[in-house]
Amino acid sequence: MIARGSVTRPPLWLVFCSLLGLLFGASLVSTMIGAAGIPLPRLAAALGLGTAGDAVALARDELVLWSIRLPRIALGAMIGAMLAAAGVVMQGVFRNPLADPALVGVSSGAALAAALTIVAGDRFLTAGIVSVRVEILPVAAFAGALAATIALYRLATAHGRTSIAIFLLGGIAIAALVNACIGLLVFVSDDRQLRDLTFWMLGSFAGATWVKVLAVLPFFAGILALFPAMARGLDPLILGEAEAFHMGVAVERLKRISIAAVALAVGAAVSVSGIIGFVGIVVPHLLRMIVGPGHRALLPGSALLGAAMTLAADAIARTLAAPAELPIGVVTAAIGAPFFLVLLLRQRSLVAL
Amino acid sequence: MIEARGVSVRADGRALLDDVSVAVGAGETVALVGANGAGKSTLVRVLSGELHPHSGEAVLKGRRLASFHPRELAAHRAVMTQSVTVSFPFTVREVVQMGAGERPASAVARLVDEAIAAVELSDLQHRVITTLSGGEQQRAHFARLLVQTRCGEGKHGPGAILLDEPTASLDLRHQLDLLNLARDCAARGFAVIAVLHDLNLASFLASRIVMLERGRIVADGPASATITDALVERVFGVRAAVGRTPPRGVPFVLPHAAGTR
Repeated sequence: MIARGSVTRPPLWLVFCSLLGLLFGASLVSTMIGAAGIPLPRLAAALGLGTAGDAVALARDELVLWSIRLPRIALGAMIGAMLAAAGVVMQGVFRNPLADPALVGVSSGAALAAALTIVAGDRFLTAGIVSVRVEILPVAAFAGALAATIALYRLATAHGRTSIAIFLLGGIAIAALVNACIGLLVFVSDDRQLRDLTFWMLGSFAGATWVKVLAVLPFFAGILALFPAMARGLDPLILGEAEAFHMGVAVERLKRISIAAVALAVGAAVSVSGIIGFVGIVVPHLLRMIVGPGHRALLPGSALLGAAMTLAADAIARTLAAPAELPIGVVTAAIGAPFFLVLLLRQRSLVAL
Repeated sequence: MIEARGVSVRADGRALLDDVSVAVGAGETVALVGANGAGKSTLVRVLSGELHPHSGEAVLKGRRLASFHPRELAAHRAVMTQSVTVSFPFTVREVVQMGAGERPASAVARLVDEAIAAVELSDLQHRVITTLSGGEQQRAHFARLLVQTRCGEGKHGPGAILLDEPTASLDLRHQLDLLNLARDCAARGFAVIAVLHDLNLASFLASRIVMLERGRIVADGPASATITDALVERVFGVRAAVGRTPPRGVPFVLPHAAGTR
């Protein structure tokens, strides 16, 4: 007999095939639409898979595809995957479904460093060499992200044990402090700087290049490589740190690895694309409702779904106000939040808060 | 098998455990009893390797606990804590399965089935654990412990089992069932240590009872020698509560007969 209220999980192969299909679909749509559309018949030619009728159109399509759209898709997919996976890891480590990657202080640190670069850097770097700022911004943001996380980690760690509660509260305090500093920078900034800063905080893949793709790739590969080790330990950790230790998990080591992985991945993501909210919370939740909270399926699944959803959001950001672009953070929040609320209300019982 | 040697633990200047030495051999069942705050749970935490004592040491199978890697330790000793909150919607079966660590679900399906059946949760195994009653959740966690001990036993032979108030929210029959399952483990060669508040259950389960008072061991021996009027009055502040069943003189504690100090 199976009792009422029993939960059945769909077979994993079905889930992963669907997710792969979703990612493929999102990538395909993303290559075709945008300020300069490439319809399907011309797409094959531009990819070098067929012959084109019109040489001029082909040259233009190839340029758009290879130097603008494909790097953007690669970057968007990697960053979406990293943000969603980082969300899963943070929610596991904090044992709280509300945790999000920003909790490790990454976003705060990156935002402050970015604001400093945009506002103060503008003053002190010689005027006229704008490109310097464009190249310094990601590096500064990444350094700021790591500095904030390391400071927070130091704060929360005593006698070799990291207190997750102090990490959480310390993160909130640091975020408040950083917001004050950013407010101060906003106060002294001019109109152009203010606009740059605001847009950075809302995120965008507009500046995607193959160089940025290559810069993010090692971080993406790194967090991917850590999936198996983290997934093993995070399940028992949900029952509590003591219980996880009793079941054989090296808890402090797992927390260290997880926090480092999240800080590096999110730091890399934020530094090239600005702050993209909500992917780290919506995607893990959505998937947890389908495959359950076990991390072995949840981590890779969230990475796939995060990639697909971020590409879809970017496609919408590029087309809604074409030829101008909406910041992607606006799209992820505007679509993600209501969708998330509907899901929550429909599956109230499955979210054990 | 498992042993505390001169263990002292302090917190905020107060001694939680003060020079405690106790050894539990293979096949023994020991009940830890004492008033609230006597140090029972602290002793369990030291013996589980979770808490490093300020002085003295905990030893398992002749090796210092601190020298084990957590994964290795999990194969030699299993622990059930007082209360576990699961903050994500895992099913009962998924929680029990966690006892098997990294082994794939298909490899331990029978072990998991047996453990779930042993605690009579087969009908509820696909329910989300947080929708179950407190007692049912406690049985699920005991099943998880059974899976962990079976896996460890297969690799290294019997080890130690530590239970911190395992029967706290169980009904009478499931209290007896759980303690019988623990006794089965002892019969296979495990060393079983359980914190129990009910002195009757303690004398039912244990071959030895260890009484703690303010971080020190005040008595260590069979029920007949430890559950006595004098010791119960000293440790719990309850007078003249102990009776004896006629044929063998097994002690029992009936609240009706008791007066407080």
